[in-house]
Amino acid sequence: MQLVADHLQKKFGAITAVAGVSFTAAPGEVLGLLGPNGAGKSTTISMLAGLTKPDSGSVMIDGVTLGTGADPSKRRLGLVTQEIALLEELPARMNLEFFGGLYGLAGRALMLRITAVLELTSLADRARDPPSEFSGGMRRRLNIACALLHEPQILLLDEPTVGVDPQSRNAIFDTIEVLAGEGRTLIYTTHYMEEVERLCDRIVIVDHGKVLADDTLAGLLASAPVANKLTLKYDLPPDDAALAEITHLPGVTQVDLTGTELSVSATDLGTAAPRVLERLAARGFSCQELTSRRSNLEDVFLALTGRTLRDT
Amino acid sequence: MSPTLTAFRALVRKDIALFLRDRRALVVSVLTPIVVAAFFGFLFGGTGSGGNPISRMSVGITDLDDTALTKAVMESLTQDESLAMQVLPEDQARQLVKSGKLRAAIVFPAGFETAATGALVGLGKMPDVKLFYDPSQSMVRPMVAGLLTQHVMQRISRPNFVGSSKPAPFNLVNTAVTTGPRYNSYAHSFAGMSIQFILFMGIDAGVTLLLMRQEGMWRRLRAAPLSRAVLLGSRVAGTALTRC
Repeated sequence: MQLVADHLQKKFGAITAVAGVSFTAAPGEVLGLLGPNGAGKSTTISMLAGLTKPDSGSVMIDGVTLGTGADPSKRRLGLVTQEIALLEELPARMNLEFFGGLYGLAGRALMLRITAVLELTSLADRARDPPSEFSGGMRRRLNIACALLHEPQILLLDEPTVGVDPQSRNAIFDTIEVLAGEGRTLIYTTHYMEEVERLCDRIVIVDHGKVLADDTLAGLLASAPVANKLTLKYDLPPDDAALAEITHLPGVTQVDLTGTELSVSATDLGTAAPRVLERLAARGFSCQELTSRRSNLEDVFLALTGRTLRDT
Repeated sequence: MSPTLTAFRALVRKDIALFLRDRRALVVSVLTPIVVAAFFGFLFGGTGSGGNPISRMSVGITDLDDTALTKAVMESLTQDESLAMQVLPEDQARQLVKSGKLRAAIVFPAGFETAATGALVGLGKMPDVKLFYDPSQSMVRPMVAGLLTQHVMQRISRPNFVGSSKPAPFNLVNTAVTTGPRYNSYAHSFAGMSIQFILFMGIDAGVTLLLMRQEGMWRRLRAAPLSRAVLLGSRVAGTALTRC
């Protein structure tokens, strides 16, 4: 199912939380909504889930405008909230029965769905235990399972990995990849660029309620005026002639020498790095230490906003 | 069953399951109203004043005059069904009022009869009768003062009446009016408590909604295709079923 956010706008008093956000999520696509805290991601998700009515703009599911309240289109949506909204004292199975009931599921159909989501989230052996006895990661997985009972074709995940250990995070990622493989549309909000880089087919970067960029990971990295960086340390720093030679090598975009440390920026490290090392060695400059770093979404965000994702 | 009805049932069932899950809360919520209502029922007089004696006020009395008039007044006060009189020395009477064991205490001064009968016909100075009372029980002072005045006047004016005439020209016939054959303060207390617990139930429902908002549960419930009326209605039904 296709989800379209069309010029969504939402104000809270004098504060504009979302200012004309537009994007389209295609079936089977994992769309990442990346931005720092307070960028407007959760408000956008609230409007996409039919919880908050936009001041202007609309949300459409396969061409049908989504409303709030008892709008039947909500049956196509599943929401995984940022807060772990579970009945802590009731067994996991009873939690699932409750959330399934909210979507009209009952009897055998409900039991089959409960079995399926418990298997998917690897919680089948803990179905009788209450979430209060679960680890943080297990509670997050149950939180996701509750949103999957009614088999939504569009799943909205609002920072689903906050506060979980790496192992549980990987389990959540596996679940998301399975869901995407089944052809569901997934909207994934986070401020962790590593998660977006791993999971998302397309990335929408938002800040101050506005869309700054909307592209694939490769597209975003290519569009950013930053490059992959190679850092070399020498006992004896390269001379001017050596620097001039490597500056003109194909793919090299920038060369900086600070003391004995040489930084080389390149569009493709795979081809540029061996050439740089070879030329410098030919001129008698032997490298003592080498590090490389590929450009990432942090660099893209920095280039777009002048800030890092984490210092906002 | 329609999806909305299924959802409504799931919401109510959840409230009942949560309520039954916490056994300590369950016991407290059942026992507390019974204990509180029984306590107030006991305080208000137990099972019945319709035909039962009226509860008496404990009042001390000190007679420093020791005359026929003061003895007659004391006898009259002792026979009053509103009072439980104790004859005590002045200091002890004052101490018992101070400690809350007596509601009030009356002290007839020496020379009371002579001064009072004289003052009645405009001769001499009126005697001072001391009345000790607890200021935290503001209604006791005027009640005791009124009863004392009534009994003193009845006794002091008796010699002026002849034949079958009486110092008070009427008899007061006390009739307790209740909905049943006897007044039952437990029934009164339990009825009052029931109304109070309905109010508490409303407060509980409101606080739970606020907690649900705080914990993100309300957001999750509103993501389902259900109207606010269904969500709030199920909450009211769930609270009513678990608290009543």
